[in-house]
Amino acid sequence: MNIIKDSLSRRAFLKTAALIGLISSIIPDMLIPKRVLADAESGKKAADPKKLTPEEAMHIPKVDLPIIAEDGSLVPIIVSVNHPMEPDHYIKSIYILDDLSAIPSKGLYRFTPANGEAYISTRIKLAETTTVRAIAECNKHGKCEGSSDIKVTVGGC
Amino acid sequence: MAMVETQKPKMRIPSDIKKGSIVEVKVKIEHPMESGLRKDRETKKTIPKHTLEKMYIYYGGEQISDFDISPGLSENPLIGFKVKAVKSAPLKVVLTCSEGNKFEETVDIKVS
Repeated sequence: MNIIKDSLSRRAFLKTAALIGLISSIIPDMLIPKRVLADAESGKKAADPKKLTPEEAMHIPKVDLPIIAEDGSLVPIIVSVNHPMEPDHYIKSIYILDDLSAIPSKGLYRFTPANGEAYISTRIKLAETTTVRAIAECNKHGKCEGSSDIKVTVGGC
Repeated sequence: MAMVETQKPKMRIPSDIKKGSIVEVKVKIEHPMESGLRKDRETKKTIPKHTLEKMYIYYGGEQISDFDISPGLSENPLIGFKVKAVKSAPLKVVLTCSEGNKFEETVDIKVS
């Protein structure tokens, strides 16, 4: 009796193990959270980055980054939006993120018309060569996204 | 453990401010900004999370901005933002930390 039970459980174990191996080899992309995050937080992008329409030029945030960062633990960044800050039409927030870092969020910065300009300058940690994105939210026209590429020699996360 | 001591933040504004102009304010605070994901190289132990979480900016008693700060920012963060100098009033910055500490600093904006 015992012998039969043992052989059955062993067979079941092998079956399960084989199934897990098969599933993880077919759908590895589903286990990567980066993609999910990138889809969740995004905004309207410029249709043609070289020729911005007046509305795009007003809403798409400008991301200033160095071309190459030698130290990934200290990368200066400036994000600004060339948008008027009037009491009824202004930039509500800027969200900075990098999908390839261990901590993708580089801060959510909320503004009011009293700021005069939607502008933030800070220093961030980057793990590898990446595209840093900034999402600006206008109280009338929704979210718009701008980005900038950077090469990182030594990661600093 | 070599930990950076947290201190009172430092604020810097331009010396000469005209009424109605937009000025850049820089805030510097010494803080380790540990994410809680890093490991100590010698002891192999995870360094506990110790980071700044929120930053509030008040101008003349009114809140004008609030920032959610993440450990994605570098150690000893330096944060610059802009304020429209419409009146002579104090500008106060309040930072909160994941360990429940609160840091405050005030500068007086004098317009001419």
